[in-house]
Amino acid sequence: MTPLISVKGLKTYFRTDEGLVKACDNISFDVNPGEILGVVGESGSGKTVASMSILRLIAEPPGYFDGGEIIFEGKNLLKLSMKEMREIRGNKISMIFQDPMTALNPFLKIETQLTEVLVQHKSMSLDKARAKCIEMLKKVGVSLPERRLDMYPHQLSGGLRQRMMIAMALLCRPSLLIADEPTTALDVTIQAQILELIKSINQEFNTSVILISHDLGVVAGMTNRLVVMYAGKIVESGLTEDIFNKPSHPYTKALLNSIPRIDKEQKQLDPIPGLPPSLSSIPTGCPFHPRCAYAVEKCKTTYPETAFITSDHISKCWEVSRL
Amino acid sequence: MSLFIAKRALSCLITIFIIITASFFTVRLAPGSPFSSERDIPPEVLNNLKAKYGLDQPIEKQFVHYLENLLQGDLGLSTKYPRSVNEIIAISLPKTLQLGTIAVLWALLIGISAGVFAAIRQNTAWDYSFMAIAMIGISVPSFVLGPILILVFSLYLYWFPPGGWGSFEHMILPGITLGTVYAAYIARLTRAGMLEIIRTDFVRTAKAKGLKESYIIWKHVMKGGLIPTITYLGPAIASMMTGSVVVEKIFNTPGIGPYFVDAAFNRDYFLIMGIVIVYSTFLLGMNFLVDLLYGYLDPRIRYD
Repeated sequence: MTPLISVKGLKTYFRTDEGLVKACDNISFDVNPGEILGVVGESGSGKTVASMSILRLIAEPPGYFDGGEIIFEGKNLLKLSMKEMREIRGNKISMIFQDPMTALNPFLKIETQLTEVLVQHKSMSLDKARAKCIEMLKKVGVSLPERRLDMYPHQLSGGLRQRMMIAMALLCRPSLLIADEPTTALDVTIQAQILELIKSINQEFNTSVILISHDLGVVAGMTNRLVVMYAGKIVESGLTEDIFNKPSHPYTKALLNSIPRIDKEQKQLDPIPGLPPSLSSIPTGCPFHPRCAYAVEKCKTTYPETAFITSDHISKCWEVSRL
Repeated sequence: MSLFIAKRALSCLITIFIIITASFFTVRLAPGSPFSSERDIPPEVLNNLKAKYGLDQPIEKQFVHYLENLLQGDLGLSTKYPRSVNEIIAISLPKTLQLGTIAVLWALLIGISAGVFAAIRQNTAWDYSFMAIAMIGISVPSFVLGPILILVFSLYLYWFPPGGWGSFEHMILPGITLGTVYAAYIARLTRAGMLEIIRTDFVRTAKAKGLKESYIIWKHVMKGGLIPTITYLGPAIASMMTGSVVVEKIFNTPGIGPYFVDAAFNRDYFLIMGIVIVYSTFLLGMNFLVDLLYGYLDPRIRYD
């Protein structure tokens, strides 16, 4: 199957006062048509930068692309002009953000913020765009859509705002939806509803989704495949099922051990010792070695080669056999 | 909303009453009187004068009398000029207002466009030079800027008259002199306000939607970005509209500014009061207007 989007060797770096920050260091992954890809990792692991790089939303400077390519519909997104990029943003690739409280403009009515997407990309008249928005709001489960359109963001609840964001992202029927921690700022019951909505959109519109999360519980039931990031690098990737059944990187394993399980007797959770490294001073060798229970001498000096657990389940660890 | 307006109007009235009371009595506390001069005035003449202006009455009576007249729109007689305070204000205030309008337009045009432009081009040579010019604009006092403008545009280029009053050309140089310092402040405030909004998540969302840069600035950034500027505009417009003593002196503009200073020197009780009332009404009115503008700009602010 030809992937919908293919990220190859992406290097997104930032020049900062503390030195060069390699937020994404040689990241590669594919998203196939119609699938949901999960990207997991702690805060600062580079998952948001990876997704923002796809839409070229990185502030340049201080950020820049040191290498790699992002192939979408046969074109390298990193080489497109800003004008060409605008035609893709919100049209073919959309993004929803972590905090729906701040991601909507508090100064503008919902109607303006929704219709402007259609006016920009589909050159629709305002009346037509409004009708289309109402239709979309019904699809994402917003009751009384006509009334909501006349409201301002502060008049809506968190869950409703995220639904607005999702509706906004879907107006042009994009082939890829990037959801950057879409439920982190919401309470648990609303979380479940929003995830359900994303899943149904994926099935109904056949929209591929990149679901970014720090919550393994969230991605477990949602995604087909999974990418685990640590300190700007991908440490493990494969089918979600395989990764949960046979975690093949000490970091993934530690993450799984640190979440409560309903099917096992647990006296206490096992946290990962230490802190994730600052991206401006990443340890040499395998970046996880200072926190790793399996680390050997080699891990401190040399970055691991790719270990194939199965043909599409890979891990970056020297000690895979001991896990 | 109407309740808010009513409340605010009432509080403005109370404020003005306090200002009137306070200035009425403090002016009287100042040593000297309208009739002190180097030569002694014969006591009979002095008594006649005092009687003419009602100054022979006890002070509380004078105050009540003043308020009664004020309610009928009568600001009293000037003790120095052979005119009523109403007449003096009616003749001089319109000139100051015209001058102030030029200054306000200049300050808004230059200030907002420079501020917006500097914010869009943050950390470029444009940004740095605009902000440096703004800093100079803030630092150079009007009694320096005014003569420089006269030198260049009147005495050297012959574009505008160096002073006086009569035509539109007469208003340009004093208007610019008066407005420049405000333009500089507005530019800095606008830049800061715009930058704050440009960095927000919702502007990132707007970019992710594929909207054009110019549209984002105009539609998504301007409304919130101008709020600090609007806050400043209330008092700024009030003080531009009521003119500047210095600028009006430099350009020999027959506005209200010089009267204020003269009135204070001459202890021209009623003229001082009249001008104070005009100034404070203006200031309160402008601030009131700004509060209403907030509600229009930021829908989260509701007055009920």
